Amino acid sequence: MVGESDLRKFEQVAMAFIDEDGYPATIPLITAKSNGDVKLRLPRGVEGSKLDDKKVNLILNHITPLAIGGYTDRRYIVFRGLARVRDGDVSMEVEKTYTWDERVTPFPEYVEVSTSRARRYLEGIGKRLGDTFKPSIGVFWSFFRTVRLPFLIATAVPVAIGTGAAFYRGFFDPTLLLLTLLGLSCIHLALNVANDYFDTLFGADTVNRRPTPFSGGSRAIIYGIVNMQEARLIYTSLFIGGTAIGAYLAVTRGLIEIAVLTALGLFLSYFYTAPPLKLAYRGFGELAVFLGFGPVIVLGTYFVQTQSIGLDAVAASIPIGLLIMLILYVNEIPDAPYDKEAGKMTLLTRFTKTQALGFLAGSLAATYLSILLIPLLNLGPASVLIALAGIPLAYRVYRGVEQNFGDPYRMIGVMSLNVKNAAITGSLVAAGYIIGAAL
Amino acid sequence: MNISKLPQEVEAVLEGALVAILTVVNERNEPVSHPMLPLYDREKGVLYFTSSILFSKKLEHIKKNPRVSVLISHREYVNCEKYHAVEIKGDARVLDQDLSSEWQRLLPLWRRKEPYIDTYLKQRFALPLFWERAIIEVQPRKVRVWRDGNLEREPEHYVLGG
Repeated sequence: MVGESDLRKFEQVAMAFIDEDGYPATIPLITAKSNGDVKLRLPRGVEGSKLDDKKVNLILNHITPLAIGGYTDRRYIVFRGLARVRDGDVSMEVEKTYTWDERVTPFPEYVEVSTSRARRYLEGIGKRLGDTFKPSIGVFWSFFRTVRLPFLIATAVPVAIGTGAAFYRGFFDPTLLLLTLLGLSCIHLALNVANDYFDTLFGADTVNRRPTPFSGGSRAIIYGIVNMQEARLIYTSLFIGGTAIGAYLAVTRGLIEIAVLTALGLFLSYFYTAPPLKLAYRGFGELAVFLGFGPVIVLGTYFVQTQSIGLDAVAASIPIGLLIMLILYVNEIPDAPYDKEAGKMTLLTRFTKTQALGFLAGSLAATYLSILLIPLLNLGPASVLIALAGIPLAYRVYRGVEQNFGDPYRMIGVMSLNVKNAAITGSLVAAGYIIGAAL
Repeated sequence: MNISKLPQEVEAVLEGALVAILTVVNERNEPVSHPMLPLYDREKGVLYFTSSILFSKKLEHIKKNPRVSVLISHREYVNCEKYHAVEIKGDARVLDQDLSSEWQRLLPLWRRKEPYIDTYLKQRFALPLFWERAIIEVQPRKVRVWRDGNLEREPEHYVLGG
């Protein structure tokens, strides 16, 4: 049952049984190596008759104490069954074994698979005390998690590019910029919450046991920070807020163009995961994100400022559309096995690793090529070429994905780097237009 | 031996222990063991554990049967000058009226054993359910001590409040 190799992995060996006084007893065992096996013996002061033929559990435990205090590297294994004691030597008829080793099942995953137990406990407390209990992280952090606030960078950068392109042509109204940013932010946050709502409804987030800050959804519904009704209320309110601002801008700046772009943005945001279209579930998620965060936002922002749309604005929208699409794409890599399980057939669920890396390389190359073409086709200033400075970062993203492909926790750094690449390259494109206007 | 308070040497072991095996009794009257971080309050003579509601089965077991035992063994897991293997049998109760903050009164004891705990606590929003925690309060009743951790020697027995 216990081998010599186990003793190298677990130093603490103990057995528990129900003692004659009705209390459980937990006793340390003496271990002795014997021909590759380990003999377990009762310590002095414990009579064998108290355990013999009784239900016991044997626990082998390990921690690595740290010099700074505390410990790491936790693992244990528990054997449950009937004990046999002969002359102080203990053996067991094992009925059940369970184990946890944080090197095999990292703690965040262990937490994730235990979420439903925690939710049940909270519900039980709620029933007992006649109230509703939620994890207590404060209003700000609840909002932060639920709407995935940091991802607003994916709206801010294309808005900056649309504004930069307009500025290059001599147009800039800060009030209109703020209104545009506010309206688009509402729609983006609504998209995030609606995405969580439908992914929870269809099980894509629920089955994901290895979420990270970049993948697996916000977990706000799964952790009970908000319930489904509240999530629906939040995304509906945000969609209404974004639509109202879009309507105002349509009336004041250009009815047809703004109305069409707003409607397209709402359509892509809602049906990204909502039925009947469920674009992300059918492999169109990347296209939807490219269109929504590229042409729709950049052209919309540009039009609000200039009241016109030209090829220059379309050209400005391509690189950032690709970069934001790649944020989604790379973040979907760790989700792919769970997405597949839930029937969310993103591109990554259909690709082999080679194909996935090929798509990534091709999209990154297309991003920087599209930047290069802006001045070459006379659709913007040469100064946008400063954004090519993002190429080394893009290469690091590619290498990082290649090396850590599929391991959610090891990919966290790469996913972060990929967001930085989109933000830096996109911001440099915007800066390029402003510099071009100044020169 | 009947005593009113745990022997000081035992208290030192409890204060220095990085891990304890807490055994509770399930609905079939069988033992179930869990490695846990023990927190000992010398002033009150009470042993505490905190348990996230993520791992709440033990809490349900204690509510149905408050009898528990706690083992501290293995020299390297105990930071104290004089190590002994200690088993405590006691009566436990679960404090879960305020899962969000009541356990935080034990933070000074926790901090002494895991100095980095505040860093994790600051990121509470990252694992919100992990930080919803119940307190398990164990009132020691019987103590068995294998002096110097020598399991070949007859243990000493103490009964508290007896």
